[in-house]
Amino acid sequence: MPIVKTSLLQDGDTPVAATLNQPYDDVATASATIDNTNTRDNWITRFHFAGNNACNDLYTFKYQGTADFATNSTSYTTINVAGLSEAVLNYAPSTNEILRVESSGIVSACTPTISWDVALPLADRGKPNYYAFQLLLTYNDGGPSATVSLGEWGYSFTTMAGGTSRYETTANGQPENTGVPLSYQTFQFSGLYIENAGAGRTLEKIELQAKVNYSGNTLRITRNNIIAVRARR
Amino acid sequence: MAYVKPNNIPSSGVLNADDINGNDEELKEYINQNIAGGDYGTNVFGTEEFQLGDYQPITNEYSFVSGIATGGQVIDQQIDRAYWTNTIKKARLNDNTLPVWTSLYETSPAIYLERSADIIITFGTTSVSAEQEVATSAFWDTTLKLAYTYNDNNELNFIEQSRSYSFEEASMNTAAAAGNVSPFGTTGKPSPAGDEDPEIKRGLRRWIGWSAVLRNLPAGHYKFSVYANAKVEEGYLGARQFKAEVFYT
Repeated sequence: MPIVKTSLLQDGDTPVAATLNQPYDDVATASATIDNTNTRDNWITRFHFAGNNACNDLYTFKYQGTADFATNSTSYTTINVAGLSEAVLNYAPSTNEILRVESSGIVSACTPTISWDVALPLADRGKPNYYAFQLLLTYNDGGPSATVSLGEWGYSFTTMAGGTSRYETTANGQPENTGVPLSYQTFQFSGLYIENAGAGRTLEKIELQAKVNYSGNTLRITRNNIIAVRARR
Repeated sequence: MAYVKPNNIPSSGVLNADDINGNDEELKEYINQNIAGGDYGTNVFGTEEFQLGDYQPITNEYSFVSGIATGGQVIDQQIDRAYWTNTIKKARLNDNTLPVWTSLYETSPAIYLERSADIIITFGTTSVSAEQEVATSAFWDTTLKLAYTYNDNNELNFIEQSRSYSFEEASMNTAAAAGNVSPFGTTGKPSPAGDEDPEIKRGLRRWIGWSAVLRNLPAGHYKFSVYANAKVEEGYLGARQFKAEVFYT
């Protein structure tokens, strides 16, 4: 469909103002709101996005050394190997905007002491064997900052899955009773945050936290990272 | 800002060449260099307007627009295994200072970045250590890492964010150093009768997963791959996935 129209002039024609003005006026009209009429498919590239309106923004944290962070806390503690494991956000999302969060890392030489039920009658069902991670989002609605968990993910110190038939015996330490204690396992998980709190909320940071279920077991974490992808609307 | 016609052609009088030439000149400048973001309408473009990424299957090479994910997934193929084995003499199999890296071919796309970009690589696999015939104190801690080469430089750049192990056992009550613990006790070998406790066999299978983010990579050609430094004589990866996402900066 022609947007800018021109008139065919032949020898001897006397040009009139409307004919001569036509193509310029058409361009002026069309260029006020260029749309997908007569634009080529696949023409938009990354180069067409202004920097502060890019479709995606990345916020990351990474520690990739070999030192480790040890914890036997039964409440969530932010991992701190060579600085807190946190990705700083500090932006105000628009309504229904999505923040995708991923995290991964590896535990190091853990020291589990008990992987079985602590006492009969087996009420714990192997709970001492477990440890868990959490991604914690801190936000601010104008007053004091608040937090929301983006998810919790659990792992176990040994191959033993708990159950009712395994508990401390005189054969303590044997694989059939305790499971094979595992170290250097990777952990990896992801979550989503959808902004539906209305205008005015500022997302401040995301922290990676860990805890154990039994304080006698020590969890050690070495390399870890946080990746947050802001999907702008 | 939209095009504005500088000269209106009057309906009477002698046609002035400068009026026509001035309009054409302004039009040329607008078309060539003055179309701005504000000239585009809002909510009028669909995804078909975005430039498509490109994939060359012969060279397994990808080029991206931005934020587009791709990669191979064989997570539903239980018998499609990627085997890895050490190629080190037995005498060195308990020596962690001798890495021999084997590339896992299906995790090796070539990516062409037209300008600087961030890349997120996501990898997941089931890993099984199957056989180690070396006598005492054999190591079982086969290491997996992501690495890449850049342009025509063949030196591997290892990404420590992806450091992971196919097996590493801890000791109950004591923190064991990496590489020193065998799942089969002091003999370091599986029983010839194959009567190990099932827990030991479970310990030799694990899921390895990680995401690695590489920030501000300069433009150019990249060849990625996950590499295995095998310490056992037979091991393999089962279900696995590899994904690369490019975010131009």
